[in-house]
Parts: sequence; structure tokens; C-alpha cells
Amino acid sequence: MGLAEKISRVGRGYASALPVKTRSLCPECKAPLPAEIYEKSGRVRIRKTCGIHGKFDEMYWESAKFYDFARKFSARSRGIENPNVGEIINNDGTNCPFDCGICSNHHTHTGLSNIVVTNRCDMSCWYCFFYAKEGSPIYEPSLGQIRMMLRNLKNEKPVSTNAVQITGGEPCVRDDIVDIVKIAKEEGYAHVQFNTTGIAFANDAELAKKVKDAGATTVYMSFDGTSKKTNPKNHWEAPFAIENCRKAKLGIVLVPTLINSVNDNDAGNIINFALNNLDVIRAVNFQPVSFVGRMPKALREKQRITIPGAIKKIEEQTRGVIAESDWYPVPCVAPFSQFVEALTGRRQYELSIHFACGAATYLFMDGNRPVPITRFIDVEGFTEFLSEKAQELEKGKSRIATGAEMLLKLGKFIDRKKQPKRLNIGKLLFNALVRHDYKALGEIHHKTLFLGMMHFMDPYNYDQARVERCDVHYAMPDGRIIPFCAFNVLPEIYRDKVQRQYSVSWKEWQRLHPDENINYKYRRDVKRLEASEIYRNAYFGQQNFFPEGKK
Amino acid sequence: MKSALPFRKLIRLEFSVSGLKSSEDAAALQYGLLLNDAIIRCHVDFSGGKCELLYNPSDTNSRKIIASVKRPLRAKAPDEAEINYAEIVKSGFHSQGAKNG
Repeated sequence: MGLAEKISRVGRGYASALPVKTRSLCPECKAPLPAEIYEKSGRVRIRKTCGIHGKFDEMYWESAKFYDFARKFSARSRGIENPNVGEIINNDGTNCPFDCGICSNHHTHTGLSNIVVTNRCDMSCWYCFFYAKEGSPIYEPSLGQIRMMLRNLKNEKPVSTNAVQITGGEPCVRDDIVDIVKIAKEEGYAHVQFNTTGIAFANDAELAKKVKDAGATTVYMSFDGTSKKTNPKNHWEAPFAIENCRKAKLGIVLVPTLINSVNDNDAGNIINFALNNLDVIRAVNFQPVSFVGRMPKALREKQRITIPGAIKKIEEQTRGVIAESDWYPVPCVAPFSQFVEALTGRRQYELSIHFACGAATYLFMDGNRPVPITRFIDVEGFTEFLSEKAQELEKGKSRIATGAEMLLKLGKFIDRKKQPKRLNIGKLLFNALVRHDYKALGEIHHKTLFLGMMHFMDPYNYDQARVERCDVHYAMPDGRIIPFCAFNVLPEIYRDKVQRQYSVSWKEWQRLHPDENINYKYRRDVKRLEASEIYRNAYFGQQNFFPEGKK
Repeated sequence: MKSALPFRKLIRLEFSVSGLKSSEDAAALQYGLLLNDAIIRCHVDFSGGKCELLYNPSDTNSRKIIASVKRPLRAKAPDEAEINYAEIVKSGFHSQGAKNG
């Protein structure tokens, strides 16, 4: 339907068995380099040689076995009809990743859009590079510019994004943040979320209600662990943010950045924490660490963790309740889109990202027991079935006959004995796929927890085949739309460069905002926070969903 | 907040580049040029042996840009034209027509 399938500029073989050729970057000078992804001792690595800076050999994935499993789910990608190929300067993607805009080579439409609304932050985390240091220019697009960027994203054809993440810096330092949410809703975004420390939501009891009333759907809250040591950023405030969002009925996604030897041993506890707050926490989206700037190899090797490594840690820490076999790469859902598209004749959202970029599973609560979806649904069998039905529809098979066949055969992919009680997953799936009725899915969210992994790249493990397929995009005020791993790995030609162009000086910002204290940095009263009932209830006396001996 | 566009007029500069051995060379040259804050957009075409870019005339000029292309690469025969930045931003936004390559 419409666009032809895209072929990667690094070759058709990106999803082939290892070794695989690709293109990468020199971490020192960012020169584009041919690279090879290969297996060594059961792990997957990427190696490249820069003529000036020598050889680089970096961990790509901890598990060659999981890599081999994941690559089976590479999905067809068709790009967009109206890429930002300049009429003045050609940016056809031949010099990927330096041609972003979105270029005509890009494989995947925007799935999740990001709008940076400020580079100010009320914290000064030592490892962060996103926020404006004292005296630095301030980047804060106007409401008009934000609307323009949102509209630009919506103009992607034939499918445009339905979700926007308002990010920063810390977006909640803007006093017009509620207006930004309203603008996003006016521009047709069904899903509006904040990428935040959550501290503003903790300290302002009304903020959650205000943004919810304006149309926000989720708070995407940083949460690096359940202890002071693993989460120095917002360990004390997170319970208050959760409580205020609970009162406002505003959902939260916990976002831990996982670093090996730092907080990797807290992954299971984070999931347990989320299960104890299932009425408000919708998901946990783990982000294995990406390294910024130069870092010695020994330290990188020590701290590097990727998707299979994180999944393995979770398996160990949940005592097998959430096993490696319960996780699937994101593009495994492509057959769902393909089927609905074939049934409706309308182009659908396509999660055609690279199989190494993300993985997910779903937990359903059966009483007090979390059960991964894979324990009662044959995911592979069902997706193969959907793919088959989609192809039949594309060849002209009757929709009514297909719908009937779906009704008859759906059950064979579901193990009703293992299905959580009072859950009729077959009915839910049928309604969603055939009737496009998603109401019931929304009704069971308080009994489910989505678990995701999203691994953004750095110059050491950069793989052009992944950038080509990225669907997490930033909109910029100069009209361009840039994939995440170009925007943040090459800030010198994208993020920082354009923000500098559109910034005002520190002094000028102060002049324009005489009532605001530009130097404000949050200071916590640890004793007061730790003495509160909300804090104590959050971290002590929690139910343990993964006790010894349980599987 | 800076609502106005950061530039009014830019210069579109096109010049030939010789000595490129591969598409990686072209991409590396493009990256190097984009590190210059005065260069707003850039594309180096390996097969055509040329570079087209937009620069801010308040901060640099074509002579300096050409001089920044170091041996073994050589740049010459520049061709310039003035362009409104507003036009670039407008053309950069998604247009209605299909341009899928």
C-alpha cells in the first residue's frame, strides 16, 4: 500500500546472521567508518577502525543468542511520503547521520516525538549535559514555535505521530507548561507526556491536576532505583510525585537509566515498587546507559549494560517470574499493524525500528501474582498468524471471512488455564484488532504493567542501521525533525547548534522574566521528607511480588 | 523567548571538491563544515564532487570556508546566491507533495 519498502544504506543484511557489516562513527572525531557487528564468546560486539584514532571494539549486546532470536522480528519499513528533503540543500541521506531533517532515506515515521521546551533545570546533576549552566544562553522556544513544531510533526504523511513528549532540561520550570499541554491537545496529540524528574509534581500538589485537566496523559519520571544510593536524583521526592499523580489520576511511567555496577542490581526492586503502585504506575521503561563524551575503555566495559544484560538481571532478581523468554523486540508487533492496515485499508502506525533498539513485555496481575503475557499467549504463533491473515487480505480475501476466522482460531493461541482469572484476552484482542475497540484495554490498565527497554546509542556502539529506523524524533524550530540518536549523539551539529541559534543570553532571559529567579536550584530537606508517612509507606512495608521459591 | 528567526539572509554557496576517495570522505567533510557555527546547512556529494551549503554572512565568508577545506581535498569554483532564512525554514517543514526517494 503506497510506499515501497525501504532498503538500508548499509545493506540488506542488517538482520542477517552475524557477522554483519554496517557503518558507525569514530568516537573521537565522529568520522563515519565501516564497521562489523560480530560474535565473540557468546556476546555481540561492534568493531571499527579510524585512520587517525585507531581501533575501537565495543560491546553491542551481551547475548548472541538473544540477538539471533531478536533479529527474526525485523519489520518491513516504508518511511514517509514527505520527508524534509530540502529544496535548497539536498539531504537525501547519503551522508547519514549528518543529513537529518528527516531525510528521504529514513525508514520509519515518527512514533514518539520530543519537543525540548527549555534547557533550564532546577537541578545540577554532575553527569547531565542537557541543562544550561549559569551564564549560558537560554533556549526556550515560544508557544508559537512549539505549536509550529507540533504541527510540523503532524504533517508527516501518510502516518503521523500521535504522541509527544515534552522535555528539557526540566520542562516543569516553565510557568506556561499547562499552556504547552493545551497546545499539544489542540494540535491533535492523543498522548502528551512529560519527561521529568518529578520533583515539581512532588512539591506542587496542584500541578498534576492542572496538567491532567489540560490533557496530559503520562508523567515519564526518572527513577533510577529504590534506594538513596541507586537513585540520588529523586529518591525522596518520587513518593510525593506518585501520590499527587494518584490523586489527579495521572499515570506515571518510571524511567530507570541502568548502569552496570551502579544500579543494575536494583532492577527487580524497581519493578516490585511499580507493582506496589499499580493504580498509578503504568509502566517501567528501562534505559540502559549511553555514554556521553570520552570515557576510558575500562570504565565503559565496567558500566556498559545493554538490553539482554538488563533482561538477564531482571530474570535473576525476580527469581524467574519475568524470564528472558518473556521479552520480545519492539518490531514483533509489526504484524498487528500489518493486519489492521490490511483489514481497514488505512496505513497504520508502524513500529519498524531496529530489533536492537527496544524490547518489551507485559505483566498481568492474577490476584497477587504478576504473570507475563507470554505465559498464556503464544506470541510468536499469534504474530505469524496475523502476518499470514494480513497477506491473505492484501491478496483480496474477504474481510468478513477473515474476521470470522480470527474469531474461530484466536483461542488456539491462548492458554486459558494459565490466563489470569477474570481476564478474557481473546475478547480484548478481537475487539482491538477487528472492531478497533480499545476501551476494554484501557479498563484493565490498573491490573497490568508494561515493561520496556529502550537503549539509545553512543559514539562507541553507534550503528547507522539503527539510526535509519529510529522512530523517536525531536522537532527543531528550524523546521527539521531529527532522530534521537543523531540529535543527542551529534549535538554539535544538531541539538546544541540549533539551540544556540534560537537562544537568548542569560541576561536577556532575566530581563524578559523579571519575576523568575533564573539561578534557582532545588534544595531538598531530607529530614522532613524522610519523616513523612508518604515516604515511609513508599519504601517500607512493600509487598514482595518476587519472594524466594516463587516462579 | 526568541520568537524571531535567528537569521535574515544567508548565502548559498556551491563549490567543487576534488580528492574525495569515498562517501565516508564526503560525509566527514560535511561533518567538519557543520561544526562551524556560521554554516547552517551543508551537503557534500561524493559522486558529484561538490559541496552545497548555507552560511551566515555575518560570521564568515566564502573565502574562509573554501580555505577551511584542507589538503588532500581541494575546493574551488564557488558559486553564491543570497537566500532568505525564512524560506529555508518554510521549505524545511513537511510539504504536501511526496518526495520519497
